[in-house]
Amino acid sequence: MKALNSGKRIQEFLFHPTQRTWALAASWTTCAEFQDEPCRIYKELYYTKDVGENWTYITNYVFDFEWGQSNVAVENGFHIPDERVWVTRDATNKKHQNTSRKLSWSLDIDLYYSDDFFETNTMALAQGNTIIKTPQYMFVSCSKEDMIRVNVFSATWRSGFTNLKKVRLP
Amino acid sequence: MTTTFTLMDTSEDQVFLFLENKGSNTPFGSVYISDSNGRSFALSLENVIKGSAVDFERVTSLDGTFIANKYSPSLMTRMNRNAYDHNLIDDWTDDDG
Repeated sequence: MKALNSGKRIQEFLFHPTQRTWALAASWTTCAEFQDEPCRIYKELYYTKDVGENWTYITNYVFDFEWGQSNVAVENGFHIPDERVWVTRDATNKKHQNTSRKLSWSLDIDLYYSDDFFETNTMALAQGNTIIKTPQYMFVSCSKEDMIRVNVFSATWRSGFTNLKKVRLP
Repeated sequence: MTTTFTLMDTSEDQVFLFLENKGSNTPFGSVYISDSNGRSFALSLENVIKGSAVDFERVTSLDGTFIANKYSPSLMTRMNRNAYDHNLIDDWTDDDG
């Protein structure tokens, strides 16, 4: 594993909603990182608490990620741990990660959250593939068995975005 | 056929969702508004125009006010100002929990 501030490219970057020096960043592995084992290309997630001076690895085979905190929750006095991170990832994959997500939903990708940067984690939704989060709502698309259609789930800041229930879309 | 949804705004404790008309290649769609949980939707405005982006904007200086560009076959295309009734929005908000 190679540190983000030692030449790895940051492909995605997300500041924390309330902690101004915190951020998440994602990077894809390169074959140069695998010297004693077969090359595997997948997306890794890192966090920094000092505006990128130091990066700490969180987890791998990541698709979408979001901070769990919300400025609306903070303004309304609802406690969500600042450390909470939402991630959709494929926990079983040992090969290359599919980068063309839009062409095919996956039954192997699940939604997780962690309050300690994945020292421990909780699976929140099986087959949760993608996340859209605003300060008020979080929407998660879950693949159906045909891997063509999805169910959409939503939760609000009032539950810390954990009360995910199926949306009845128009 | 793919159905495309676009999340337009969530700042008013309700979700504004744009749904493209089925049949593809039509530059129109409908805006739906949700309950406070973001789970049930009702039609708010039809024939909203979408070019590279949906013609739907929040008026940040006036809470609860949005402007949409709507196609009206009888009156030609024109800008419609759609100021939502605050009492109606309060009803949605009161529905939470």
